[in-house]
Amino acid sequence: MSRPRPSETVTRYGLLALVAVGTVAPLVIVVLTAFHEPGESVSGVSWPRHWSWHTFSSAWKAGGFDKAFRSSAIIAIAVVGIVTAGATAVGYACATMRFPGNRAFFYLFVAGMVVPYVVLVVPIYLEFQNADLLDSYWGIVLAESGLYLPFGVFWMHAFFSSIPRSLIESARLDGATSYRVLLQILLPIGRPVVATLMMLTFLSSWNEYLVPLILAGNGQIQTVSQGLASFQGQHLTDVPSLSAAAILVALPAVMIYLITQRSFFRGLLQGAIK
Amino acid sequence: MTAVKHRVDRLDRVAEPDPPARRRRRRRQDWSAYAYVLPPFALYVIVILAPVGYGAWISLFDWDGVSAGKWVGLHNYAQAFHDPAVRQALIHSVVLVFFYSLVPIAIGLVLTGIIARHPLKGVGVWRTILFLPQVLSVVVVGVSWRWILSQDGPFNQLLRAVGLGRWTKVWLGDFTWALPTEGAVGTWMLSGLCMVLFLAGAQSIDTELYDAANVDGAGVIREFFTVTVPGLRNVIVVALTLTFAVSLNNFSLIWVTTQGGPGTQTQVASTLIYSRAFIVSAVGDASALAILLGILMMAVAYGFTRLSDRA
Repeated sequence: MSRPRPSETVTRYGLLALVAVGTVAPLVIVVLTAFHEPGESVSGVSWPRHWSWHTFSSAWKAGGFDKAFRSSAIIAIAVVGIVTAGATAVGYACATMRFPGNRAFFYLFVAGMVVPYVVLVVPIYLEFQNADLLDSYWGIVLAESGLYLPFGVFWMHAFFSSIPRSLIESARLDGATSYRVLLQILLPIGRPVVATLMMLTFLSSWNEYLVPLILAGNGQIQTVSQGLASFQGQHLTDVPSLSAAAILVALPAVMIYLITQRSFFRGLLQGAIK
Repeated sequence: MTAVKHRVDRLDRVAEPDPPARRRRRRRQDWSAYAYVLPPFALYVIVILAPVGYGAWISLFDWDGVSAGKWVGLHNYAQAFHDPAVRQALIHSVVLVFFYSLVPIAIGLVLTGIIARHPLKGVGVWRTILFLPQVLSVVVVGVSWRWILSQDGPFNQLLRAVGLGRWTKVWLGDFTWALPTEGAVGTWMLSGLCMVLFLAGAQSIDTELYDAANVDGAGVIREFFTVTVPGLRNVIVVALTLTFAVSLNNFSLIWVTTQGGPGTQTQVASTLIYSRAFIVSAVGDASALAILLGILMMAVAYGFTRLSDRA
């Protein structure tokens, strides 16, 4: 293989750096803005005169983000649990067991991935209104779990299909129940796969805006995205507070992403490229 | 999907055991599978299957969501084809598809074509940065860009600094520029995603193909179309499907930044459906639009899968 010429190396890494800076610059600007005093009028990119952490705590209080963080965490954890368990169960059964309709169930679930949200939200709202599930944790959790489930099934099915049949068969012949095969043999192998699914589901739920907007419009339950949107409505001109609030909402997702990104990309790109 | 199916079939055959006792065992249906499948399936019915059917049913009524509905058959659909607001929203959606799908894919492909000609150092760091917009809430993205593109925001400051001071404006509030600006934010959100996908896909392209192309005297552009693009074909289809779905599903970014305004300049299909259903309470009408949009999106998504070489 020919070695790259030095000028080519400069071009290649220069272009990459340019795109990376373009991606990060808007975020850096928002961080810089957030370190100004609350209510200070900021114009363009400006270096804070004295770095003020105060804006974060005042935005946290003014926006009621303690409650919003709790609501979003409750919802996200419940949704991650339901989607992971459900997707594992369906993926396992459809990929490794023989029963009437196993293909049909799988394809039906996967077809759910291409149904656009806009088709679903109006009837889900009406359905949940009849079932008295509006403005409740149950409603939001149920809706998000159902919406994220098809991708989860697709994801787990791909994993279970990649496991040699003989491994499962020999365990079954030794008298292990299907439940024990799943729990004691397959899931330990599939830990990275399950972890990637959990992380993707957590991010989707934490960042979800449309579902809580429609199902919890009364404001009794407010998720972080709703909290930030209504904070924006009340503090349109207070740019430092608004920036601080945006960073607070983004922080948990970004932290989880940075901590898990290594295994996350391994799982994700395998799925997309194969 | 078919790849998965083939793999399952092959494993079936490989694992076919010879003792007759085992064969009998394998042929038996495993009824316990329903204990795994049916509880999640109930959830699927409640949140996806039933709403699709219910939505299709509602779309046949003239209904405000509260009082008794009036059966109108396919009238809502017929009307949708003559409704100028629908046409406008669809045109806006197409403009967004351009900015959300085509531009990021073009940027990603061109850069990958230049970068992937040799092995890349620090892949992990680059893709961690490029993927970052994907982990942010769309509301965070919207709030951030609204400030950056405001009158006193950093973008106008940049324009003044390079001598384009007369171009400064409230970008998301401008009748002409609001829609392309929404599009540009989408380009920012999705270009990194496309690059991450393409750079990963390019790792499976043999770099010797580039040398071979050079030996054959292929220029940079020939090389791009004969080596890079064909090598990334399946990944391009994945990127196309993902970004297309984001652009037509995109409700939150528009709603947080402009709510479809100024006027109806950034009204797209999803915000139009939301407004019709929840603000002007034309529930039947909104349902018909939702069904039409769903059919359109699924048809295009199906078309994309035909483009990949495993179809």
